[in-house]
Amino acid sequence: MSESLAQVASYLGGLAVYLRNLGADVPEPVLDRYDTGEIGFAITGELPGLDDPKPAAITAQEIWNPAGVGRYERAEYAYDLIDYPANRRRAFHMHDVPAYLARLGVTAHEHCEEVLGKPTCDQYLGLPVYGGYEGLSALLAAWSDPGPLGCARLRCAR
Amino acid sequence: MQDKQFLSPNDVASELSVSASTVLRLIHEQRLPAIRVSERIYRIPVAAFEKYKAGALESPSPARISPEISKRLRIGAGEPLPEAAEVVARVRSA
Repeated sequence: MSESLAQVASYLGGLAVYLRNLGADVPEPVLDRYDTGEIGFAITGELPGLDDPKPAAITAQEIWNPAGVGRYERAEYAYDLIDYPANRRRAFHMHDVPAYLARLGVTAHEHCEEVLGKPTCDQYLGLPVYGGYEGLSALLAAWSDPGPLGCARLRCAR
Repeated sequence: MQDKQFLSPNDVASELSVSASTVLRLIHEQRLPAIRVSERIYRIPVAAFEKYKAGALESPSPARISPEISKRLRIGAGEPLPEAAEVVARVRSA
């Protein structure tokens, strides 16, 4: 589904407010225009609550490709949660799509580390995430749950 | 409440002296920020509840569009690609 530049800017502003209203500390977002003709953004929020050794961080990065005059389609993304207090990581990614399709037959992959920096698998097979709200809300659900992330239930992309 | 990081709808109902169904309605109407853990489970960060009580929730507004043209963001930079995929990526970028 293609969107105008203004619609992507509204979407990005909405993502930042979504996180802020949940208590995250999020800098003012900026929609960047790239020399490739694409647009994109990267926003990071520090989540409230525990902050030892530092607060949990949630990130959304997206690249939107031109899709007709003044229109753009989301082509790549990375939604990441690094939960420093819980010492774990969860992420949903779609990038380097031709390479992943050729090697693994999937466009999207995931990261899951029950112990931060010690993944039992570098990449897990993933299903595409529909949009930033879906990606961030899944990560926030993981953040709010004290139980294991459930990495063992995922399919390793080996 | 001070040593808790998240509240349940029942906790919030108790704080606001309303019913749990009223709290769920506030969540569904997106007037009270909450994290949906599953179809029936919601968690409300204490920080979000404090914002709600203070009337400090923000309304969405469009992000600023950079007037500058910049270099493209590289998503996944530094992430190892699956072995064979690295070859495909190199061929495509050549």
